[in-house]
Amino acid sequence: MPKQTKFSILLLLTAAICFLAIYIHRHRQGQTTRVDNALINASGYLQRQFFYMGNGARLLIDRYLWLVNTRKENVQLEKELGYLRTRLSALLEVEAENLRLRQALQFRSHVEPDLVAAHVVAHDVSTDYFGIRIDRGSRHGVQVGMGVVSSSGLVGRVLRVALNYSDVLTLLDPTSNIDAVIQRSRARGILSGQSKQLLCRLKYLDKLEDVAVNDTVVASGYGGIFPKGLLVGHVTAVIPNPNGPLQTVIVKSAVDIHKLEEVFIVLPSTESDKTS
Amino acid sequence: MIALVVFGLILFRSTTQHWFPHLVRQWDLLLPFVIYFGQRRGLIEGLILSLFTSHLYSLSSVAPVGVFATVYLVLFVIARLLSTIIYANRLMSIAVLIGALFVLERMVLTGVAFFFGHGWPLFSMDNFVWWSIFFNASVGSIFYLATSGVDRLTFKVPPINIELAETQA
Repeated sequence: MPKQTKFSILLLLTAAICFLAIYIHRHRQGQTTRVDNALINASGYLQRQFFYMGNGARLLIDRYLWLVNTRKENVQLEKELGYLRTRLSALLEVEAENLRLRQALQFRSHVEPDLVAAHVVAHDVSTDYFGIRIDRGSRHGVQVGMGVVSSSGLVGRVLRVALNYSDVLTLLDPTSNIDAVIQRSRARGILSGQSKQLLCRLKYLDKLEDVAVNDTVVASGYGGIFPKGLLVGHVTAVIPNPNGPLQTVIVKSAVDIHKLEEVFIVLPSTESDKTS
Repeated sequence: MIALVVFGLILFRSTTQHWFPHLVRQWDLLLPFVIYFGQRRGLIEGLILSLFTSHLYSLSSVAPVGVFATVYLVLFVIARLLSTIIYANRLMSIAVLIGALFVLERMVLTGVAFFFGHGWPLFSMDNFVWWSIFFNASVGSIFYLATSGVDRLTFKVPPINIELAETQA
């Protein structure tokens, strides 16, 4: 076969595969084939073993070899704990008052979401996307689109589900969009990742909205994916735009994705819960 | 066997990335292999290996299935086309080739991500880490040369006359 014909066939094949990939992406988003499912389960199993082995080695180094500043840190933490205890008692008082007022106004009680615990077994292998793999899949009731949180705050949402493992699109990913509000001023925007900078950007915020550095950003609760008021992060920069109607707000996530070990999948509340 | 090596590297990278996130995140582990397939392996074999390994790569990422298959397929074709002009077999030429194709990959990925509805300014100054070109060129060259060495040991690629011609020149 002449070389030119060979290259023409190769180029045509490339174009065909590209179109096929886009077609599959548009029509089968979030779904996995049996082969993919088997591959994800096999790699997930191996990743879990490697991840635990690595963490074990790391813990050994962290706990036994790097104890130089532990005493200093302990004193600092004790001081911090004292302060937090004082704050907690004040907050308990506010909570009790809130409850009394809610009862007086006959508001329905806050619905606690059902959570499924999962371990992080791997991080995204690519240079540009920010995902994690967790060891819970369709067998454990996980579905595409469910919210994922940790004890520190919002993590992301489930993007792909295999039998025993799921892939989570974290809030640091540029393709992630999370409805969030500034806790102080209730200014609402959409939070997306900023690729390699490990920061997020709160988009579509009018420049007249009241936003300041160190403001707390929480989940708006719209869509029911994440519990309302769940901590997302803190504002690190507000960049005014003199020529446009919007302002740029940079947010540092409350969760350090690279230090995550356990997460919780938020199961959607049932209809009876919603109406109660 | 090479697919197994790539699979092992994917497992290694995805489970150790959180130790040194800023460094490991810049490492594109598949690029040197795809370039190698384009340069040194047969057309059909290289094509199948590129598609299979990039699909494995896709399954360990939250990128839509198909993004990386498309990107690496395009890079495979470019590496194949380049093989008619440049035959990289010295450390310097391999490093330059990988560095150049790494820069090209950023542009291809931006374009492909756009077609998948995920366009974002990957190639903007904010998101581009300049030292990653040198990092990938040097790390990639090691993998490229190691793969080449293994292929020679297993007689996958017979020693060819180009090296002979170079030494005679």
